[in-house]
Amino acid sequence: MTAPFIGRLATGCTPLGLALMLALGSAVACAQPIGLVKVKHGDVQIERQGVRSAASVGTPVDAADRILTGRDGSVGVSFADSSMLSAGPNSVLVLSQFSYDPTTREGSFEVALRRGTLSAISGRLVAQTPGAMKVRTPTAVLAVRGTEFVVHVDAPAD
Amino acid sequence: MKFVAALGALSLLAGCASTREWYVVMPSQDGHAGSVVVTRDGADTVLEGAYSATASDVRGAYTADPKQVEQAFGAALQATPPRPVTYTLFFAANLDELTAESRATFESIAREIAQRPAPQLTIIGHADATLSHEYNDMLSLRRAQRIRGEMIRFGVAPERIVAQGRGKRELLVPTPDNQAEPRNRRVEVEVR
Repeated sequence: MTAPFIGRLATGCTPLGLALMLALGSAVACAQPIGLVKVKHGDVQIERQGVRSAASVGTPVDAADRILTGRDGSVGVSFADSSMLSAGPNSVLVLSQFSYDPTTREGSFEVALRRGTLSAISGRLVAQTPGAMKVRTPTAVLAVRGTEFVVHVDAPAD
Repeated sequence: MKFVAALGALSLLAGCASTREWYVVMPSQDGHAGSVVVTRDGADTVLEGAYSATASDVRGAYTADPKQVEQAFGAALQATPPRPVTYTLFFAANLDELTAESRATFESIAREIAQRPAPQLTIIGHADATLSHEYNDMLSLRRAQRIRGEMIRFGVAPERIVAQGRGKRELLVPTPDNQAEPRNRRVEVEVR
């Protein structure tokens, strides 16, 4: 058991997990979703590995998911580093990549807005490393230094 | 220049003319001036400060009209999740017992959780600088675990709570090693 690592232990799952970690002296990764849907109005779908399902408040999102809103839809998602993304109607948002170490606050976050409106509030990743969050659009890449911004992509439907 | 013009003509043919994009930095509630670097065709446009903006047919930055921004982004802005709030709970020396004032803070956390959609918690325990790293890592994690247990009893789903101990590695009040300091014996609870 080396002291520097003990302070990094994170337990998100069970007391058993905790006991196990203390016994092994090593971090046990508990599967936390990268984000959760917190706000949902109208038609909101999450597409994972080609399969679409309706989202509701509390639905977890994962890296590589696509979030799609209908004509009357809007959605707000909060992420593990406390960043937040929300999208207005007729939007297609791809969660391209997310990694976050809660102890060092390092990692990276990439999303792509294919069309529609996006409002973003960066979190600890960007606070730790300006530029750690990127938003891609059909014609641009946005490197986020902080904190709140909006993006509109007026593109025809696929 | 000819090459750039040719690229422009190509993108028109490819149908990009019907794609229009707009990027605007918003006033931030944390008081820091916002900043985003927009890279298009290898060229950077730096947006700095509230309503600093650029768009597909604009070179460089300009200041957007807040009313137009509200009109275009109203639905997305209204769907922003409730902002995270962080509380600090303080503990008696060596124990995982809360101080009397922190009992009241605990009640505020409970009320905040009850108001939030799909609430999530990040609970980070800390200790003061007395005794060893090993002891304090264990103690700080025990404090975080104790609060986690109370939150679960309060009804928060266990999978929505992360608890960590940081020992004496992130002191709130810097002290020499082995110095007792009540304000360093704490747990930070972020509700989001």
